[in-house]
Amino acid sequence: MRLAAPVSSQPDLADFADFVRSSQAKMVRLAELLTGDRGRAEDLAQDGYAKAYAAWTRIRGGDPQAYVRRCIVNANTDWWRRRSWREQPRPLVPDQPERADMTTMHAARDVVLRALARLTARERAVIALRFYSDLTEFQIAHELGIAPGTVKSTVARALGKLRADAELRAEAAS
Amino acid sequence: MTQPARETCPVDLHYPEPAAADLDLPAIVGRGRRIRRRQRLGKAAAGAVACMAVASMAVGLRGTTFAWFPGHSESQAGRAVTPIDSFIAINPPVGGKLTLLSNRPKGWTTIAWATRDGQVCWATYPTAPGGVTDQNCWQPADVPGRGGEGFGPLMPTAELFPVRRVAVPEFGLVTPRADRVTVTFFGRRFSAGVVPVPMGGGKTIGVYMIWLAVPASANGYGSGDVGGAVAYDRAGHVVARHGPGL
Repeated sequence: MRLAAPVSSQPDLADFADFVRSSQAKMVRLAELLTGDRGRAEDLAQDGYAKAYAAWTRIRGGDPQAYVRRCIVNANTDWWRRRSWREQPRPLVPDQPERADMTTMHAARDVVLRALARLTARERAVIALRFYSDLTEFQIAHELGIAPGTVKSTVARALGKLRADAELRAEAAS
Repeated sequence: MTQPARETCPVDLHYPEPAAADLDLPAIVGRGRRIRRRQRLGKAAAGAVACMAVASMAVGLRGTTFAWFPGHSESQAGRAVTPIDSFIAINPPVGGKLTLLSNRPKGWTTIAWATRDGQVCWATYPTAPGGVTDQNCWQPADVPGRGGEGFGPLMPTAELFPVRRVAVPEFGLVTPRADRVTVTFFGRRFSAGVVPVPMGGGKTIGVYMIWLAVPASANGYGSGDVGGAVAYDRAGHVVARHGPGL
């Protein structure tokens, strides 16, 4: 983390810096699961934190992580839907590893991201919030502004797709 | 809410992290400060005019135009500032006019307006305080043919509304001569009424909000799923056509 000295010199900035430091890994991962793209994920997380900073005095006593999470999910929906309206959605992660010496760690990550990229944006969001952020269906419904029943059916549909995913099945078999 | 027995996810979302997150905190704080400043400016502008127009639109008729900058006699209403007010303050309407595009589904209001710099904007928000809002603007280059001919690009909104079936609201621009448009989407035709929105100088632009059903089997959607669009005038004559990919 690049911390400039003046940033931690004020009490609210110090609090905010601690908050970013302690939660950024989770938020970047959530954004990566939503976008399938690490660079885009860091941009989304950075934007989410900037909005959180703008609202810091209001949200610091509540659940600032939920605030950033909502910013990330909403911004991703916003980006995806504009992109999708101009282009056909396709997996964001390349089928071939970028380097021949790709580690097992990278390979595992890429398999997951490719599988998620085959879901719709909303399916990705509910899966990430449910199984990564560990939210309840009710909390997801609240964060996405949709009905709990819609969350439930979307989770079921997405899990069905993932279970039927040929690449995941092949991966499991190997 | 009681949660049922926990499902398991077939993929491990907690995979090992290949590279530690390294966000640029000074940049975050700098951007946060700019956002805060912009919000203050927007709220100050919106608070200064203390408009009642946005709230009153919830009970208006489609196409009704409301003044956003009311006279001094109305400016003491002191209505709470909403996020939509801030957005309007940043993108002020030409002639101070907002137009009601839709007040459906129940509890939601959608308005449109042209800005002084030639954009056309829309905003949708729940009538009750709080909740998610969405807003966006077409750039001047997206406004059909300057002279108002043809169609502008469709612009989707987030899936804000709690609808049970998979239907997505889209916004579009069309020649102001149009009274109604039909859009073919995934092979089915959908229809919507056109609302004239003042652009200043006596000109208007047609804006419509259309609900498109996405087939359950579709894994996403895009402009390629639009088979075409046709605009009709009040007499039912075709006034504009657009091919696939609106």
